[in-house]
Amino acid sequence: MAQGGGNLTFNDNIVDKFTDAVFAFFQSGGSVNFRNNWVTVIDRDPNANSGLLGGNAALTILFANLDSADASGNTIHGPGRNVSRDIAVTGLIIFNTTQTIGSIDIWNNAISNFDFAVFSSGEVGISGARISENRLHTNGAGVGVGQVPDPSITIPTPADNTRVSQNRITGNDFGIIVAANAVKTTISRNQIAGNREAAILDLAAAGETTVGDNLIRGKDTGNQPAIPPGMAFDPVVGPPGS
Amino acid sequence: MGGKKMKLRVAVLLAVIVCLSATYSEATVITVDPATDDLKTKIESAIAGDVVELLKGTHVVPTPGTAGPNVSTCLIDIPAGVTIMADPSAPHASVVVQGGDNSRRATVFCSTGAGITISGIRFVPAADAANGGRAV
Repeated sequence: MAQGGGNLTFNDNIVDKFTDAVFAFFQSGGSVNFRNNWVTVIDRDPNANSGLLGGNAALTILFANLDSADASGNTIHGPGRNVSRDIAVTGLIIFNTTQTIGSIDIWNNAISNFDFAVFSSGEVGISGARISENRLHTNGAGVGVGQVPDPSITIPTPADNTRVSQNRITGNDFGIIVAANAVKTTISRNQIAGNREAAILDLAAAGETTVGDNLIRGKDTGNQPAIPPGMAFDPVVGPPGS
Repeated sequence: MGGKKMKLRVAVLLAVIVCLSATYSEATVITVDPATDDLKTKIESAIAGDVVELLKGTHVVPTPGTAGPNVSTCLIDIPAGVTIMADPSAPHASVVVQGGDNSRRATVFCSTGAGITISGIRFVPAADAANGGRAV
């Protein structure tokens, strides 16, 4: 769907063994709706595209200027985490460095076996991105907010006003990673359990991330000792070192 | 007197029906039978507002023969404003579009137009392909 116009709807489809279900590139105006699909993503052939492995996703929204984007009710299975790739493979990725999306709603999806289940970066207007009520398990990270994992890459408009709430994020390497250039991120009322590394790795500037009312089992953050499994924990976590 | 009123009412009613018929035109439904029709031809000949309805079965989209890097191909170009959907009476997942091959950098459906809807289709890679590349 290269350089398409707006108002793209892709719903109730099955996409089996593709590198990408929908690649929305330079969409302009209207909305992108990706709902109730069942997708299995597999790695692309490195011989087919500049020798790179990775960089694919069930849904990609890239450099789009939209009123809204909605990804909800999808079941998405990836090619596996911890595979040596040039670029991460992601379940749902919004990567919008130069354009504006009025609102982003990523809701009620089940996503497993990716480097990132959900990755949201870029300017999204006042309302920000809402990532809620998803079930994200067995990924490298459940949610990535902002430029991850290389914050040294300059992007004009980092993730702004992202709200991550009421998700169940289990059995991943990391639960949620907030990048250095993410601003005004809110993480609340999530269940984050059984992740091998930090439940919330917050690399943003002091005071930019608000965390509260989460149920965390296992490790809490990269800067705190591990919480014994099975212990409910309801932290208010500040930036690293706080 | 009562007969005249009745005739007037009927005339007004008929006029309303004629006006409504003139202003409301139902979307054209283009059915595609995998046994007899070519999916690419049918979709690319649709116009804005048309609904392309795929019947039960496997619709094979031929992939280009050239393999290797820098061959980026759109297999079917959807005109703006066109809806592609599975036959509503077909069992779920029984309408299959087979095509796409990452080694040829193929995208099965693409469009530069606005107002595209795709619903109820099962996408599988081309028979000789390890994966399907991009579906849309």
